[in-house]
Amino acid sequence: MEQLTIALAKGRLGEKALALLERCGVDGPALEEAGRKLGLQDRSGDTRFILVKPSDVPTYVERGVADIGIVGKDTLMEMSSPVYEMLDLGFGGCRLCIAGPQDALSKQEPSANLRVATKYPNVARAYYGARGVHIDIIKLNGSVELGPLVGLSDVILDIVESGRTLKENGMDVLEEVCQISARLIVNRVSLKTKGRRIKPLIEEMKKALEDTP
Amino acid sequence: MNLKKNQLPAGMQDTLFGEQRALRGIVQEGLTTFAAWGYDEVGTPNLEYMDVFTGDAGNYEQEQMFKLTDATGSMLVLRPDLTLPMARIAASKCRERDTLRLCYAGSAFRFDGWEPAGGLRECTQLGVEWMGQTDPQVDAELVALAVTTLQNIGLTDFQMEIGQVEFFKGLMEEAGFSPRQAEQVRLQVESKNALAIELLMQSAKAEAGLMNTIRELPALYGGVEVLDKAWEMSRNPRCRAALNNIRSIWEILDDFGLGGYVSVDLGMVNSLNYYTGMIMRGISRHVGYPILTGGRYDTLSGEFGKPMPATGFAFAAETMLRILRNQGTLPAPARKRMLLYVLPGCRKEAFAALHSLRDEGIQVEQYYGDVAQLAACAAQTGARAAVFGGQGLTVLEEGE
Repeated sequence: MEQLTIALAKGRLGEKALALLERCGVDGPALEEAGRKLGLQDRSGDTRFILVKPSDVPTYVERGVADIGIVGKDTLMEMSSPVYEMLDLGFGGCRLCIAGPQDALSKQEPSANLRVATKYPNVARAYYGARGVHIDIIKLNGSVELGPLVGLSDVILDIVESGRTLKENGMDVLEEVCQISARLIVNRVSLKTKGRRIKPLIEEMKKALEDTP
Repeated sequence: MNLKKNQLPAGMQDTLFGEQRALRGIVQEGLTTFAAWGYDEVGTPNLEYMDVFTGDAGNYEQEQMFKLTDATGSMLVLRPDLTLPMARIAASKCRERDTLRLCYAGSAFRFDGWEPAGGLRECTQLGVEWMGQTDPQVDAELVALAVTTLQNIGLTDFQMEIGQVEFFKGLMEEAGFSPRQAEQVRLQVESKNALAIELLMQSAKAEAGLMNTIRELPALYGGVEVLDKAWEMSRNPRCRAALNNIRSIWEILDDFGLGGYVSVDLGMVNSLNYYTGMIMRGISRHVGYPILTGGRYDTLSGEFGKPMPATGFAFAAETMLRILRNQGTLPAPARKRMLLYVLPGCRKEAFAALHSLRDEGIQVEQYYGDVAQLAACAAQTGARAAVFGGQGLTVLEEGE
């Protein structure tokens, strides 16, 4: 059987993805045994897993190095890679939000550009662009919540799960951009050239999702 | 000091030696095949007015093109493709011709990278355009030519997917969607995002059966049986005409013995402003992106002042090279090489001998360095070392 390569995000999203795949008959490797290895093989040799940074999953799938991948919708929106987005897996649910101090928007000088700190510059540009709001994007790679706290930015655009980090830093959700969750993405060529493996797997995953309340 | 002296801009590449030779061979093979099928090669400039590439059908965004200005302040661009210049030629220099079969090979430049070139910003684009006739036989010939060209280049396993944009356009028309709604649906169909289509259908007001058909669009791909399924699902005359068109094309290709190369994907809905009928896309398991694109574009040449139905395809030589490399079938060097040292006093006789060696097809370089280094120097390029002296030519054994 031809080998299928699956790109998984390192961390919790990847663990949940692997659990789902195992329920669908994919013989997954034990991640805890993986240690620092980045490429893992299942026992039968039919499936290879690669563990990558979440934001790199679409790149691996787009280029066909991985046939399928599991990744958050937030990453997909930011990357806008040409891949097939074939299933909403439900888990990894959270919201993409604009957040800041309660008075961030009212305090704003009407003529000044809104300063937005974010890991998602493309999403920010598209969101505010569609509203005709002029912004300055400040690209950060982590601890985005610090932005308004230290005066680096007026607001942030980031994913919000419980909202606790925001609360603890004196901020609130000001606007919700959209709901996000984990998605199954497929390389456009692999879907056709390895359809005999990918299509049944997608069907299995659909069933598994329907069985979960 | 200029720090970029030894660097290349993003998306640009050098090609050296054997790879460059293979690249040239691919271009040659392509053009030879096109010529054998009756296509005449034309050359057009790398620099053209930006207006050539902006319009309703051939609409490149400013951001996709490398731009310059000329002395009068006009916007010039490095051509982002060669199809639009072909339409320009058809409507100007070949205005009196009713039908035209053109082919080309040349550099194309895309600021955003051309997908079938694997995102390269400069690539060698090869393609054909047939102008002047709308007929399934013409489209089928194009697909057949695409398959033959890729075979001649040396690709062993690839597929040609065909679709029909009229099927999608017919569905959108029947549903009464605005251009904006249709574009939203198109984007999601193109990424086979069933969930997003479901959400769009929930908020849309259209007949239930029709909405089910739209929901099914991402899954309407596979063998020719897809056409039967689609036929059952759509009663709209525009959709059915599109399906009949694809079926005719498929039947012709099957008669040509190419049925095994062709599959159908009705969810292929890219560049709807540009394409008006059949569209095609080549795929290979050796690369993760489409390797060839094309289709029918009957409205484009009207923008250049001479309406003429047309169809064509294009691919990048660099992608073909990559596939040959991944297949492990890059052609071996065609010619033998020789590094020749001429002993002092033998120059006159050597010159004639060199000529005949070269006529035999051997690549002969003369060596003017220290004779003790001859063998080492020859090894660097994989050439055989040889000495020409009073006794004529002596080819050294390896390691000698």
